[in-house]
This record gives sequence, structure tokens and C-alpha cells, in this order.
Amino acid sequence: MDIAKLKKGEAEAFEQFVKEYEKKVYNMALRLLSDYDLACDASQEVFIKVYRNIANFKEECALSTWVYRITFNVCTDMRRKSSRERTLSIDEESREGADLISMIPDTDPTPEEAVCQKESGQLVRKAIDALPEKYREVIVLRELQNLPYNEISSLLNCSEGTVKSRINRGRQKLYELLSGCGNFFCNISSNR
Amino acid sequence: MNPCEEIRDSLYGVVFGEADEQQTRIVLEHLDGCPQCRELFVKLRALYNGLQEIPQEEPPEELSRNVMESIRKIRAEKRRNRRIIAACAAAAAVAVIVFLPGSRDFLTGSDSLLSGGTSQTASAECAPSSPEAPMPAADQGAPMMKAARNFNTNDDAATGGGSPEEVTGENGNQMQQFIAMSGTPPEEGEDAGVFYIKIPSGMTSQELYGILSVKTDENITEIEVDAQQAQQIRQICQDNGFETSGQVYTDSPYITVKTAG
Repeated sequence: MDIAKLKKGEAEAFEQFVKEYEKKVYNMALRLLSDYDLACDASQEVFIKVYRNIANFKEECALSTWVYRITFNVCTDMRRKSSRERTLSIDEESREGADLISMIPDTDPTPEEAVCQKESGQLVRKAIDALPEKYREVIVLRELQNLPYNEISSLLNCSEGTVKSRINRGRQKLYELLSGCGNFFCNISSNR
Repeated sequence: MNPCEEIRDSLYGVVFGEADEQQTRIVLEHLDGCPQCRELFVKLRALYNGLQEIPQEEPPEELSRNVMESIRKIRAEKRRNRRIIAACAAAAAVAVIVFLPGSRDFLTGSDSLLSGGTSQTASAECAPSSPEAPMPAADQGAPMMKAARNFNTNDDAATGGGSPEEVTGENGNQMQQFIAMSGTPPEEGEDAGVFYIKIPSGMTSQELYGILSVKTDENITEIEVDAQQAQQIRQICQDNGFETSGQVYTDSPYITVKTAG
């Protein structure tokens, strides 16, 4: 990606940038917001913010890190503002021990998609969506976007120790959720 | 703590590739003789692999189209704002020339640059294309006047820039608000009515909100306030040495302050 051209505001370079990043930004927003419409709105806002601010990007971090930082901030704001919060995230404490995956409304009930859901990636995705917000954030940033601890710490404005602790707890919760779901580890033990 | 509990504490680190060499060796040695821990290890490997296999979803087709459409609008708006700034600068320069002591003699003397209508030109300010603000006669030796005159000609049919409605409309108001708040016109890439506060190192956003007297949710990173509150927030930032900018910080967490209206 030619950052210099982006900084000059060249429309063609920006179009190329959008093509390269739209899937990454959209998927990050989707995992953070668990809502297709909001993820689309958030992605659009991210690209507009990038366009408006790219001239000030100091290149002290990778362009992708900078874009993820903006994505995270936009999603955080959107989640707070949105009145369309999903009911499953009403009260994090009340979710302890529940079979949360079964609480996620299925929007894809076709037979083909039902088969797909048996795939481990799909099950893990649903488990991430079911995580309490503070764990979902760190798991998305660490495991899906591959951000280093210090960058996550900077994004969340908390210490690296807190980030590590949340990531560990998030992983344990993922394990618990997938253990409760049944299919996941059955598939694993027979497939691997 | 029995050995298995200790090992299980380290298992996540080993599986996710974050344990050091020694820790990894101890865990693997334990797994050789402990079927229960080995089973957990296999499950955690499956979780790790599952995370790598999460399918990426295709964004909706209209996403990139909508983004590029918005970008085109922003570019048009920027061009328009640049012309407004140029016109304001030109008008201000004219005002200085006209009202400087002795300048009237210079302007109306035998070597005059202007011949009549000078005060109207100065008062035209940000609306140089207004019919009440006739531009001076053409003159080869007055660059500032030429700048104002260039603005006056509507040279961009695509954006329709330069018409009185646009200059005094939403864009003009928004920019005046920005200038009132920041003391400077927005630069390229800046949003009128928006500024950013760098969260000082070691301070949480909630602590910063407390100092700024803003009651809001801990995790929100954007607040919307009226112009008066924005001014107060700027003052508090100045008093406390908090860094503010018209542009986002790329090297630090920040909060966004949007001015409503």
C-alpha cells in the first residue's frame, strides 16, 4: 500500500486501500458489534475517518494497526450509542455458567448453513459473539487481529497486566462455552 | 497446588505460543505422563486451531461504493472550504489596506490601486460574490485583489463553489464555529466542529472526563457537546496542559469532542 499516495489524497490510491482493507475492517467490526448493519455503518465511518486523517498518520506503527485503532474506537462508540444492543448482552454477570451459544439467535437456518455451523471456526465465532463485552474485545484484538499486548493496552487505555489477565480469562471462557456446546470437542476428538 | 493445577495454569500460554522455552519444556514433560492434562492440551489446541479457522465474511457490496461516494462529497466540500478561506484572507487584506492610516491617500492618489467602492469591498468579508459587494476594477498590480476576484469567479461547476448561498450557508457557519473554537481555520483533513484531546499517559479516560466535568460512560471515546461546553473543555485542557488537536492522535489514546449544531 502506497501511504504517500494516500496522504496526497489520491482517489485511486484510496480506492485501492478500501479494497484491501474492507474485509478486515468489516470482520473486525462484525465481531466487536455482532450486528451486520452496525458493522457496515461502522466500516464506512472508519474509512471516512482514515481519509480525513491519513495526512496526520505519523507511521510510528503499521498502517493496519492504525486502522484497527480507528475501527476499535468507532465500534466502541457505536456500541454505546446504539439502542439496538442485542438482548444477549444485557447483563454479563447473569450469563455466568449459562449455555450462551444456544442463546444466540440463528440468522442462518438453511440446511447448508447448518452443516457449516458444525465447522469448528463457525462454532468458535459464535462462542466469541457470546463472550461478555470486555472479554470479546480483547479476544478479537488479540486472536483475530493479532495485535500485540502493548497495542491492545494502548487501545483499551489499561495496563498490559490487565490485558493479559482479560485475555487469559477470555480464553478460559471460550473453552467453557465450547465445552458446554458439546459438538465442538466431539468433532475435534474424532477429526484430529 | 498439585502439579496438574500448576501445569494447567501454563497450558494456555504453551498452546497459544506465549510461554517461554523452559515453561514449555516442563509442560510437555508433564503431558507425557498425565492423560488428563494431555486431553485438556488437545482440546485447547483445538480451540486455538478453531480461532485460526474463523471464516471471514464478505462485506456487503455497497460498502466500498458508499465509502467512495462519501469521499467524493468530502473532496468537493474541501475545495469549497479552501475557496472560502482564500476569500476571507483576501477580504481581510483589503480591509487592512483600506483602513491603515495614510492608505486612503495612497489608494485614491494619482498612483491609486482602487477607484471607488473600497469600503464595500472590505465589508464584503466572506461573501465576496454578493451583488452588494462589487469587486474593484481589474488591476495588474494588486495580487490580493486578484485572489479575491479569482474566488469570485465560479470556476468549479462540479461543486458550484462560490455562490452566495454556499458561502453563507452551512459550510460557512460550520467554519466560523470552528474558527471561533480553535482560533484557526480547519486545515486539510480536519473536521469543522470537532477536536481531539490526547489522554495523558497514566490517566484513564474516566479520570480525564472527571477533570473536564463531563459525565459520561467510562468506555465511550466520543462526546457531543454544545459550543459553550466545547469552549469550557478547551479552557480546562489549556489550564491543565492537556494536549488538544484538530486531528486524531495516531500515537496515543484520545477522546473526540464533537460540537453539536
